[in-house]
Amino acid sequence: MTNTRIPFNPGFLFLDAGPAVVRTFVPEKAPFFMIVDQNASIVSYTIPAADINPTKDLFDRLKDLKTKYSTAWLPGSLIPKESAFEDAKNFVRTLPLTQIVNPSIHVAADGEVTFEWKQENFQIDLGFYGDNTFSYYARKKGQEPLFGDDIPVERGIPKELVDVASAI
Amino acid sequence: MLLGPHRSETKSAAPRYSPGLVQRDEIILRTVLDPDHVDPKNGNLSFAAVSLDDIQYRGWSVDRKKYTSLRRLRLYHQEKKRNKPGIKRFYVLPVRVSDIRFNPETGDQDFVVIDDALCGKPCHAAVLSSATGNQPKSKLKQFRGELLKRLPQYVGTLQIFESGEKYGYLLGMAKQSAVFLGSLRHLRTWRCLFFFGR
Repeated sequence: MTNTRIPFNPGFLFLDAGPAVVRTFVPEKAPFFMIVDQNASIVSYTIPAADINPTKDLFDRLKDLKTKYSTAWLPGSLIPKESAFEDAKNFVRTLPLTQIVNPSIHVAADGEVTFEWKQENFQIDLGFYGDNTFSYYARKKGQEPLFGDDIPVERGIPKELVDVASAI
Repeated sequence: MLLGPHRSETKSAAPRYSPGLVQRDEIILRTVLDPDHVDPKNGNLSFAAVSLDDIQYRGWSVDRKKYTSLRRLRLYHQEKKRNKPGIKRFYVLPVRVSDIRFNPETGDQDFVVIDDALCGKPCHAAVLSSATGNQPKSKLKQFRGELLKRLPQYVGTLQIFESGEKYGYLLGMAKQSAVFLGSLRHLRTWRCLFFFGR
């Protein structure tokens, strides 16, 4: 394996590329592309700072929410369980973030950590309460809605949801 | 046996404090907290603005516009701000009751809007899904999506009331007092008098 370390401001991207691999990364938001030649040296790349590390962005968001909702919250509201954030974090590790856009993450008044994808032609509402499972509802124009309940977090995002979220 | 939440639109959840049932042409107001309920990327209302527990059991709290006022709304926001200093801004969703009760595609009644007046807060009402029993979370999320789809864009607090709409709260309190005085024969309602003074 050739380990290629590509420096750019303000971070680094690590590549594990075999000797005869040509990889092109074309995530949803242009301009973002990278072409690696046979020796895994860079031919060209353009990486907006915001797209540097989508996984880290989501982890940071979860950490931020965990801090915000650990103390004061409104009367009648529930503080999310620590395990809800843990489940959300484990779920993030299963997300194919080169295929789908980052979800927005929020906390509801009943302690649910919600992941939201909203685009013009589809929406996904997925949430964690900290019982090691998640539930979701997804709808897309021209398709039957999708429902899922009590799905173990370790199973990760269902393929049918990836299909909905990646066909933008 | 555990009783489910009150879901009847033809009967108040708190008849002793009720200024009247919620009418279909009424405007109800829901406070939106920024950043809790607003997506920081695009300013859209997030799903988290409506909790599943609220639409299934507790009731999604709203204020009836005709029984509140700008001053009361601001006092309410100040109280929230004291409890949660992280709130940056308050917005309000002005929702016409008839816009959320029925599903425009199927004609089914998805939501009920019930009079849920509280002692000293006659404007209080609640929105619940019309589905009874323990619903799966995915189904409640569908309800939540439907509700959010029917909500208007949130606006600033100052945009809600016309200059002549200053006495809604007083009207509500007058109606509540009349109902309350009529029910004084029940001794336990005396405790409400105590709360009025707070």
